[in-house]
Amino acid sequence: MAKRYDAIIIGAGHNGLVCAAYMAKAGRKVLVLERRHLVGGATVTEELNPGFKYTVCSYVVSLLRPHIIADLELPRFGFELLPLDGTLTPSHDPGRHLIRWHDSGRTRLELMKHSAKDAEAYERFGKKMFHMGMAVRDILGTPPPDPTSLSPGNLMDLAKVGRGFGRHGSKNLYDLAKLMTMGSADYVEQFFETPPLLATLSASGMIGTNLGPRSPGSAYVMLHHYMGEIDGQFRAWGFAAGGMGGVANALAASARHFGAEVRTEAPVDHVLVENGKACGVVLQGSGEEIRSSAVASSCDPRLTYGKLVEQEHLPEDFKEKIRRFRIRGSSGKVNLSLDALPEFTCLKGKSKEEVRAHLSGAISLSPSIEYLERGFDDFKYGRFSRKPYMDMMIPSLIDPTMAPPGKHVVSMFVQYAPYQPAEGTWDDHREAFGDAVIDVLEEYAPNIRDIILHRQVLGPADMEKTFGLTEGNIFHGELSLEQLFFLRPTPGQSGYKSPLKGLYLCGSGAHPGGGVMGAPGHMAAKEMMRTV
Amino acid sequence: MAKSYDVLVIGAGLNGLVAAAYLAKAGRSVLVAERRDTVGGTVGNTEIAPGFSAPATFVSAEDFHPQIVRDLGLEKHGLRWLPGSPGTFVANGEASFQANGGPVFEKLDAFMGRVAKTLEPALTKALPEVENLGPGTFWELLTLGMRLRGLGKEEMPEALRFLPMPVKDVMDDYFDSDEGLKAALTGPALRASWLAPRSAGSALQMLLGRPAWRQGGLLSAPVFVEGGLGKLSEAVAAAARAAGAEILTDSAVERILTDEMDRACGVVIEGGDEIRAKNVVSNADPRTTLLRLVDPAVLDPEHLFAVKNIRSRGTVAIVRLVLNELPKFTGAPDGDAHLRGRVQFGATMDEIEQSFDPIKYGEIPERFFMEMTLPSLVGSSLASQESHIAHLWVQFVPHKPRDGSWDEKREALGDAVVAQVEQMAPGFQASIQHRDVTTPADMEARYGCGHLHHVEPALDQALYMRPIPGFYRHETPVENLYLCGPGTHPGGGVTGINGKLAAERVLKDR
Repeated sequence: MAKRYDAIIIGAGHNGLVCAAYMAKAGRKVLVLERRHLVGGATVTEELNPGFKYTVCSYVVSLLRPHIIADLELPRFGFELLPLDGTLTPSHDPGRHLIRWHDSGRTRLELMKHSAKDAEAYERFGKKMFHMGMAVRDILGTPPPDPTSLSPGNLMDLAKVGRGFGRHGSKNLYDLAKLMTMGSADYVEQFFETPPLLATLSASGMIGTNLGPRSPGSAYVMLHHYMGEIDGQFRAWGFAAGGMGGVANALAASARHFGAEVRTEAPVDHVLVENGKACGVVLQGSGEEIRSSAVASSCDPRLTYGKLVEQEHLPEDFKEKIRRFRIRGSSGKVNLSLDALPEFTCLKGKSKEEVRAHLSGAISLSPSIEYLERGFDDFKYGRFSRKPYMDMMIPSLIDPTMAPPGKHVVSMFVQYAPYQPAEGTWDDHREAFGDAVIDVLEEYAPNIRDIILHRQVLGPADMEKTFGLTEGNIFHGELSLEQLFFLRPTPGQSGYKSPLKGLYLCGSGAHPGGGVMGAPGHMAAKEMMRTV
Repeated sequence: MAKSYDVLVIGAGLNGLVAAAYLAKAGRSVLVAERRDTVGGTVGNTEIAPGFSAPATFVSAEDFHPQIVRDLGLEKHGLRWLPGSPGTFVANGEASFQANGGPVFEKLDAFMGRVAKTLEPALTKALPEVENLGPGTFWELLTLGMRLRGLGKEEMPEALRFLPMPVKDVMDDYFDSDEGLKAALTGPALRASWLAPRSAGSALQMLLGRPAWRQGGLLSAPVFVEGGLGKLSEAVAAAARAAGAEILTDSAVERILTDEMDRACGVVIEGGDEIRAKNVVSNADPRTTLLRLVDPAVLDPEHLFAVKNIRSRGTVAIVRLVLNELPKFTGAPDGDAHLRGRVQFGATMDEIEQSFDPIKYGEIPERFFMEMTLPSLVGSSLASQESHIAHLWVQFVPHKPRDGSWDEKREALGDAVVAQVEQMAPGFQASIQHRDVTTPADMEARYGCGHLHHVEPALDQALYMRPIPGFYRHETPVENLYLCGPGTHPGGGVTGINGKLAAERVLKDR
């Protein structure tokens, strides 16, 4: 007789593991099934070139909820956060660059070199973002109510959300409403004038989206990314020791410690349904059936409801909504092994220590809003950006164990790359895309070509294949206004339950969405434990 | 001794006139001060060439609210409607397309109709004042909420989902192919906006562009006015005068006077005349009103920040032509029914998107998204038997070209527009007798604002945030100063509602 579990979690991504750990901690019998040979999903470190550890997909911890770190005792299981200080926006010219430090006083002095107006506005901007971040932070931890339901419980929840917002005052609410609906470029132009500053700030509104900096809605994505900085005081912003795999391994160790089983190389074929209720899963290959009272999928909604559940178990209108769910991928990743540190022209003349300090945070290749927007124009019509935006990191400067002594690894997050190119397939374009990225990098660091030992190029199609991210969307569904909060993943079916009894969604396709945050996993665990 | 009025209205644009007429009818003494020598502003006629007068910017008035026609008795004052033909002819050579509907369209149009009906009170009345939750406001909000819920468990979330979306995603959700129809439905949603089919919020503009009070749905007929759209403004002016309002043309307001409490108390007319008034209602755009006509020092920094950051970049040029024969479009149906409706250039959503991209960089696109109407064809006296008037609404053009000025580029723009039409209607160029090109710079010089809606239609400048957050009931941060132009709720277009709501607000405050 096979063991029976309270819950089976499909996928050992960070949200799956968070969900499992919370349930196990509360005494539930939990099994996590992972298709790949390692845990983490898109939160992994892999040694694709011997001695060089790549943070293959996600690359920075900024949104992981502090209470999750504490509740799951992650530091005890090896989770260590190394601080990231500084965002460098280099230029092509010696001596010209923009750098923002964690210390706002230092940033102010730096900005004074570019524009007194910007230096003065920086604090106002920061305060505004902080206030709005605080208002949104409450929402991140609140399961969405159903505005169409007239049930008293729901009305109470709705009123609570309203009251919660009300606390922040009408002025902050208007600010938030503006931010939710504006383009990130338009938003930051209200405050600043220096092109690289405007571009670097608004670029975070593009990450993982189908939006350009001028597209309405991108300012919210900017805030979504800003949240990490707000939590900075709780030490939740930085680089995980050992790369993102360090986060996943700590989560898995924590889950196991609390009693969950985590099986790798155990791909789920489909969810087992009996009497209209999910009651386990069937594994690929072996056909092994594993039974449970409930099943949670940490895969995205399209994969979960489109492939893992046999279609006759889902209502027609729901399937139609899932078909309409927008999950277009737009991001690429280029990871490099380097023989030496890239030499940025703009840092010429600085001491070795200064250079390392400037390169130890984020490096944003974002000279102007026009540069970013033109990259988006390419993408809209099915091409990769000929001159892409890149968010670059050199993890080996922060954690020397990432590369052999004297060598380096580089992680470059790149916007934009299409899932389905207008012409040909992604396979035809992958290396050309990698070349375009290196071409741009070479403009800033001319020695780059001579020091590359190994290169990994990932486009949306590759992310789908490797990590199961449908269309390569890193957020499990676009963070557009019509797919947030009680509309996520679909209107009328928000939250963590699904139309199929016993089946739950615990990944980023549920509120509050993507990023290495863990909130969907945590809230899904709470929802499941109401019945399991 | 300066004269004194209850209300002084700055600008005799359509909404200024509507406000004046309602206020005068309510017994207030009203003076309208207009900078130009005619009334109507953007809803006026100007000459293309001697003997040919035609609508200057806006061309049709299907969205004008019928209640205003009744309240002001406009038909008694000479207003005569001339409905064109419904549907949009998408000019695309051999692949031209007459967009009239189809079953999927009917479904979408009916759904939009129900949403429009639900939102009608929010668009024809002052918005409930959310900051000040009295029992009355609470009741208004509750009613609106119940109306929304009345859409039902399926349609209410669909409506909520729909509102912030890009119109392209909506079209792709509803239609599998039908590129021509999708383009025909997308075009009107983008009128005068700085939005492309892929821009979030364009679906809301599609909805606002299909008001419940209009006859017909998304592909409704243009409704022209006998003698040109300017006659609508003239009829409102006549109604205002009949109710006792005075209208002074050639009287530019130089600045708004404020008293020691920073309250508006009158205006100074260029040349020095001071006119006192208990209330000042401005039909000028919010930025001009609050940054130029008022001394900005009276605004607190937060309001100043909001007003300065209103986006009002013009994106429209108007090209008006006198033709000696009707255009013959390749692929057009027989007869001239398609010419009595709208002719659209921009046959796919991507084509429209591509005519938007360059303005992000201050550049002029190679091909435009355009709507052509021929108001003279629909029983009007605009042109003689032998000639016709073509009106082209041209998007997207930059407010200011990145290099050079509109003065240098105006005629090149006209040439490019004509060449694009010529491709779809051979012989068009040869039929042109006169041409007049109006650029955003011309609009700014003529009407004081290069944006026809004063405040760009966009999610963050709609409803409670129009024109600035918190000032959505036609008041301004300056006491006794009100706004009545299209930069206020419920937004731009030839509806007259802005003026009516502003008048109601002034009457309520006193």
